[in-house]
Amino acid sequence: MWRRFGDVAFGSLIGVAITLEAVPLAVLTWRLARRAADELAVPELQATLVGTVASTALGLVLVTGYVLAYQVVSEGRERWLRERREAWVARWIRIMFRGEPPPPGPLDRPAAEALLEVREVLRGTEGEEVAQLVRRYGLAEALRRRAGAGSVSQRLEALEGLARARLPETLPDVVALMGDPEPALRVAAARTAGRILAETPPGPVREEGAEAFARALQRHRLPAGVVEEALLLVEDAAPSVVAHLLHGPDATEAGIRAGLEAVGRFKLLGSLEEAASFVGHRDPEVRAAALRALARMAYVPPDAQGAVLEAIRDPVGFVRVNACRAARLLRPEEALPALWERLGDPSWWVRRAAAEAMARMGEAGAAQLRLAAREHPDRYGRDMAAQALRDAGLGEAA
Amino acid sequence: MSLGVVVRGFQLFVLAYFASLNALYAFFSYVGLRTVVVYSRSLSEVGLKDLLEREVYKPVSILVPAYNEERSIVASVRSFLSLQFPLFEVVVVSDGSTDRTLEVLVEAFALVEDPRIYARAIPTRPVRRVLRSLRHPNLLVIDKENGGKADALNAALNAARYPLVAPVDSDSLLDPQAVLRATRLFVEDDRVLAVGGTVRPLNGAVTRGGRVVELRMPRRWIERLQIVEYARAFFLGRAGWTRFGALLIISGAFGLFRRDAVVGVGGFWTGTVSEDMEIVMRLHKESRRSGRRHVVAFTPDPICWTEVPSDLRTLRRQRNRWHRGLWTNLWRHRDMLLNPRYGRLGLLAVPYFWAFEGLGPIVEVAGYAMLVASAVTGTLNVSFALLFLSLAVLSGVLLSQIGVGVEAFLLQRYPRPSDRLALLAAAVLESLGLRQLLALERFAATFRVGRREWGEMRRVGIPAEGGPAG
Repeated sequence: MWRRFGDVAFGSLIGVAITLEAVPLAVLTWRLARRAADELAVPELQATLVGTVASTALGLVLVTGYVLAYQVVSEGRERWLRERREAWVARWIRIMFRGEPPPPGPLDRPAAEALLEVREVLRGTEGEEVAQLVRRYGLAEALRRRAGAGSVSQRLEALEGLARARLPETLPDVVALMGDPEPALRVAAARTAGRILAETPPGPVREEGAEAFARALQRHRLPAGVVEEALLLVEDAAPSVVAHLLHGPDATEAGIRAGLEAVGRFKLLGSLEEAASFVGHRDPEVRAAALRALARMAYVPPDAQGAVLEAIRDPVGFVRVNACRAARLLRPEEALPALWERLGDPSWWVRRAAAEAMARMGEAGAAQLRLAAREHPDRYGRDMAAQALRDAGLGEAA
Repeated sequence: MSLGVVVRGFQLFVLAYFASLNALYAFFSYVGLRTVVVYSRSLSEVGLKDLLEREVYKPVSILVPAYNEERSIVASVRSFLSLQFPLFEVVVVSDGSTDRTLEVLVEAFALVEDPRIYARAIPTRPVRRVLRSLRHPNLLVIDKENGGKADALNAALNAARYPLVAPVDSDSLLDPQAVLRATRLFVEDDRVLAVGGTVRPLNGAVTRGGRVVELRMPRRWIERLQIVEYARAFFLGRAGWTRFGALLIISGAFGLFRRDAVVGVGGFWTGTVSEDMEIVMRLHKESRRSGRRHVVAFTPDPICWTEVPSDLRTLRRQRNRWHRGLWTNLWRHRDMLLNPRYGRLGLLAVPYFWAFEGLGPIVEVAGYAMLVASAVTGTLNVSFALLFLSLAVLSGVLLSQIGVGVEAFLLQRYPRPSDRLALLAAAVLESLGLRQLLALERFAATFRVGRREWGEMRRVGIPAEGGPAG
């Protein structure tokens, strides 16, 4: 969407142009005030005005010149870079699969970008071979250095490179950046760390990395959405990270929520019992996340069934919604009376969730829903049951 | 007090006003530019791919209010339906249209009546019927009695199913990637209530499949001048205000809001012709009052393409309406002015809008009147006046060039170097002609704030496939 070169220089140039405008303008205002108090003669004031005009014009010339030059240069440069990158991708592929000898280092920018592109695409043994090439040319080291210091934009670019390279040895540095004062860098570092962890082979290194990653997610108070996103990137390392998030010494509510989301998304059967234990948690977001995890896994452990039924009457609306969705997994004779009751809930969303859950509970649920459409004491409950029947293709109430 | 003292005092006031305004503009340009630079790198292609593959996004309901849009509504809805976003719905509201808007929608999308029940969280004018499409399961059309744009948006808001809602103008096109990038801001920060995006003029662009595939400089100068205006307003102004957490406007052409937040403050206010600004002010205000930490964010990514007026009459009507809306909103929320309870909003953003956006045309027109009066009475220092005018024009053009310069960093930009020169010329014309003309229009609008009329907007319409707009 954006061209990623020349903008930092443009920013500096704008700083100069604005100074060229603002400083003389401030002087002019001051001198006009003096003129108003008859402390300054008109010719002197006029000379200041001429200077301000000239200075602003110079700023304009600089900016216009840069923009015009950028327009011309960027077209050619991009074409050249694209062609070189494509040629390098083809060459790396030949090196990988046809035994062509690798070039001597160091690599120029198109060659390095092409190598990282190839690394991004290839997995398994071939991916590891590309990773060796990345190490051999010192790209990881260079990216690590650039990610640690410099302008925000350069550091973000370096983190993107590290996310493509996915080298386990870079994980500690990237995890450390999750605590950077710049929010954009923290978010990018969390994403990059998640990608690297996914590529780290099972063993003590991954376990240590998972613990450090989980601790960083909790300690640096990253937004819940970012924590969830980063967790979804860790793939096979998810169980270790989730275990730390749910029960680690620094467990936070945002971390627990994210862990529960991951349990549901990755269908982590080993963490099912733990997830169920959070249905009665004090934080409603955590309760809802636990219920969502159970609904996604399509199973409620026997010990948690009572808690799910209780959650159907939770004082918080969105918890009741998720409890209704999980309740469809309970025995109909236990769930249906509770869901029938929720058809009369003051919240439209709860009524909707209850009706949908009933519609998904086989013939017993459908029969109860038909009955509700005709005889539920709450008018809104009857309407909702009728609509759920129609939406599910279960026919009309009568 | 002699006339001379009054004149000299006024001159000093105008210069101080001009200097403060330009200093603010310059400051926000710099800050805005820095925001754009960091933002442009904060989500890489890799990150975007991960978002899609891991299904880390929030679904969106696109809300399309329509009143007598029989000529363009089908093309617009088709373009929204072709949006390449993982999960979304389109809710069109025919707001008591008196032409064939509803009929053409029924014919084009095979609409049938849907006895759907939904939470009418916000009261609106009566809904006559709800229709769904047999061809597009994610299209819903509401036929209701006329109540104005805000009322139509409220009806759409009631029917929306997803956690994010995006009110759009029916003559706009959306960029699929940019919508994904904008929705991620809600994922990344729980405090985000609303996200505004950059809107770019569609005029002259070549479209295919509801997407802009090529930018061409529009033929009419009035359209070119608006390209400059939009670049300056979005890339510098809004990006700058965002940096300070004090963004007061999200364009009505496209915005993304948390549905529960908008419903929570009572939906869009029907008492203004500028409901886009009003809802943002109210979201800020209510969040501050309830002590809830919140963010109204802005993404410099160009999300939306909109057709800008191609004739002066329509442009003047549009700006007249915007200015009336501005005053209505400022007056409604006058308790925010210089109120420390509202932090930077109350102490910086709202006073800025009062002093420079609201009262700006009055000061400007008064300045021109004073100039004329001085010329008539022979007290005008011609060389000083000309120099001052040159400074005003140069400052305006410099600012515009910075905005237009940011546009050059977009992958989809006006392609030829001659386009840059055309935009430079447009920036000069905008500072020395259009600006004065629109100042007069806004000056006149200041005294017609109570009027609620929308004014007829002449549109050329979204172009046929492969053809340039405008």
